[in-house]
Amino acid sequence: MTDVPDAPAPDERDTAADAVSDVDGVADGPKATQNPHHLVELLRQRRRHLRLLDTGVDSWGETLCVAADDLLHVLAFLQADPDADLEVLVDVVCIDHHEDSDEAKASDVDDDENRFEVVYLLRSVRLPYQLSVRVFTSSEHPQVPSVTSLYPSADWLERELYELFGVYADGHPHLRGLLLYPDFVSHPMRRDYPRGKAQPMVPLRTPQHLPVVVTDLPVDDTGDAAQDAS
Amino acid sequence: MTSTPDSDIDAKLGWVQRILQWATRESLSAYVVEGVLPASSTVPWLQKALLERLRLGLGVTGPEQADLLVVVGDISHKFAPVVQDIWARMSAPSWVLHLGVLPTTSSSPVSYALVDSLHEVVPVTVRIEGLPPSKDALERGLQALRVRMREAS
Amino acid sequence: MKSVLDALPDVIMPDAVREADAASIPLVRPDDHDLVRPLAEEELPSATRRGSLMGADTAPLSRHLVWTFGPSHRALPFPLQLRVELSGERVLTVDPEIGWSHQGLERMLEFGTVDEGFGLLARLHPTTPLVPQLLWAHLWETILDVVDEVPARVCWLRVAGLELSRVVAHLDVLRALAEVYADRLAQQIFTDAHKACARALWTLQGEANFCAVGGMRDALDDSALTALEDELQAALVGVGQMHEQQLRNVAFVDGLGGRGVISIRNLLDHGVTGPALRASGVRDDVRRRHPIFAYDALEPALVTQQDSDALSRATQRLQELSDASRMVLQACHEARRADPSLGTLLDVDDKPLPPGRCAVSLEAPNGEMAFFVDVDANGKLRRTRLRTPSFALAQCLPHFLADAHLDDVVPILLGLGMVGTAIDC
Repeated sequence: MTDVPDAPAPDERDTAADAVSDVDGVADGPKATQNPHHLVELLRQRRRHLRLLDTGVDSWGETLCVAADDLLHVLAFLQADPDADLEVLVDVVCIDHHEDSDEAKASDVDDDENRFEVVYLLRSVRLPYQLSVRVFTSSEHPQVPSVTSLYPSADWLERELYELFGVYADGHPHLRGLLLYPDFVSHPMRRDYPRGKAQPMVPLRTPQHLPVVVTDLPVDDTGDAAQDAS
Repeated sequence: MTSTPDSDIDAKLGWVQRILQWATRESLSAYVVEGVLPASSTVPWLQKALLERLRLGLGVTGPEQADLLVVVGDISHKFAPVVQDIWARMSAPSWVLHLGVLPTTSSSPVSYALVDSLHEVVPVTVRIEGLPPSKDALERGLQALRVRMREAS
Repeated sequence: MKSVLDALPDVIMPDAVREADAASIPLVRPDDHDLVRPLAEEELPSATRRGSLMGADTAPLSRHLVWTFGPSHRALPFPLQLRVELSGERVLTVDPEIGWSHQGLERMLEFGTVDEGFGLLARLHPTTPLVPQLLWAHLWETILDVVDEVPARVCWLRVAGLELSRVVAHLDVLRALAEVYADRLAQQIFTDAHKACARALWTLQGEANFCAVGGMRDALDDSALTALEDELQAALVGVGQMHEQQLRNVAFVDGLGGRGVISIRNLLDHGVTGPALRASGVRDDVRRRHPIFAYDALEPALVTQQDSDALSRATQRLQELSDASRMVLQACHEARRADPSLGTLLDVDDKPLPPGRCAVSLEAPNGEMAFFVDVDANGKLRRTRLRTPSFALAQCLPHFLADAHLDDVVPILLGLGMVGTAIDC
């Protein structure tokens, strides 16, 4: 956080504006194709050694499933390659596949191999491509490689991921909580976190004098007097 | 046909104005803390500007000079110690008005992050439910607050 | 190769492709101490450290003053804590801390039904609840594959509501800026316009008109739409005059010009979209990328600015505001011409939801808002994720406020127009 953003000098600013005025959010020109599997084919052509576990197309765009070890390679390639140019990380979403049904509890299966699924939503500004990359991680060692070296927006997103789900982001410069307070124990967005459990930060006082509660609901006369008289 | 007549809108949305007028008439200075506004279809965004004016000072530059602490909406657990600190800085006598909370029913979702009842954090004098509170509820609530204030002094 | 990266001078981009092929980064697990206290506190003078001074190591005292601003402060529009490291009156670094308005909305949405979700999403943006509610409706229509069956009138009215919300949000930001710079005329004009436009939005949205999947509950008839158009035009007359005066207002130009400059690289790195990105010259608009509702028929003008300082962001909001009002009038006009069908409202909670996942986005007043939903094989809603543009803006705050004067911190903050509840969702 000590780096000062480089404000372009006046003459350089003009060139910056000129250069980006050709960049259009809407695609036109030979670089954008209408192929719905463009990014997957690009990966298959130019990075044959990367194993793609699953590919497809959904409402966000193309979708890709890779192993956690290959995540950084895939994202680095797609960010740097000029025909993909996925330079914005929109979101990092975690889905907990833990079953809290009675059968799952009875069978006592705790070490789930693919309990947490982390989805990275990416998009390009210059080209009209969007991609979601999924990795799975287990319940015992929930960790994914950190993508902060590629996308600085992953800093807070991975902090939130760790805090709410407990999934470590290896390589994160400083993983700590973001939304909750330091005394909060456990991870509240997990499926096995009890629904109404609250962890108050201040010791709750036992009320001595109850407040006067005024509600909007229609009450009968006796109820009204009882409320206002307390 | 859903267009509401103007008088109805003013009645619904004039609650902040009403509190301002009431507090000025009672010669009170109030410090307003705005928490999370609860879910409601009638959202007081017209009153946002007025709420900001409230926040900037009803005769106060800080809680030290306030008589009344007005908490609007729900408070998260992380924010609770801040509210306690504000209340602790208020010199006696002080009262707390909790506004705009929906009545807790069994079907309302419970959140791990929000304080269920503000009364367990700071001693609330009057709690008015409903956002925006109806004119009748607001009147009764302010009347009850005045009664409590007279009792204390 | 033309890309935004080529335009930036003196940027040394690491060759991530080559580096990624090398041996992987050694895995370092953060220790418990790191998790409990943030790094910034280690550089604070030991007197302000929490806990006793006994056993404190004689670390060198910070040469600069670290001032904690917030979380509850009269100048801040929402609870936010900024640890500002100052050298004299110049800000060196800013460490923002959020979470004071965290409500656990995503968890609440998991336990609620789709209809309750509309009410819960009003908590996300209390001032413009229509934006998340419309995206929620569009999300479920995409899942159920009924997007094409939504009638034209509903689509036009949705666009009108969305653009009117944009007008209201931009007016709010400009009003706050005018208040900071004590520009009474601008403040009066923006306040009156904000009230009138919010009233018009109230009329359009009613109690819960847009909170339905597949259509609208109760649309306005033609006379009410005409009245709405007249009201909007009357409200924005003053703003139109303001548009020319604003740029000549010395207090405004001197106060905001050259402040809060940020590079395009930093904006894109943090996922900032919307007026802040367009004010830096990047032509990016989700309404043109993925037109939903009736945006494909209604071309939103793509306005950009040259500089990327606070003044250009304010000017960008002003220009977008006039364009949005133009779109509201056009949408109302088209809605009056369209077939008066309100569509069939679907009760999504009636039957189990189709399994799968869906991610949709739209252009909120501050940038791109994206919702992600995952339904498991049993038809139960497993995960709802709300990505708000205010989160990206809050994360980018250190870059907006770097090397700023202390007096400029609040105006830059207000000019970004972040919504507190949306940051901490």
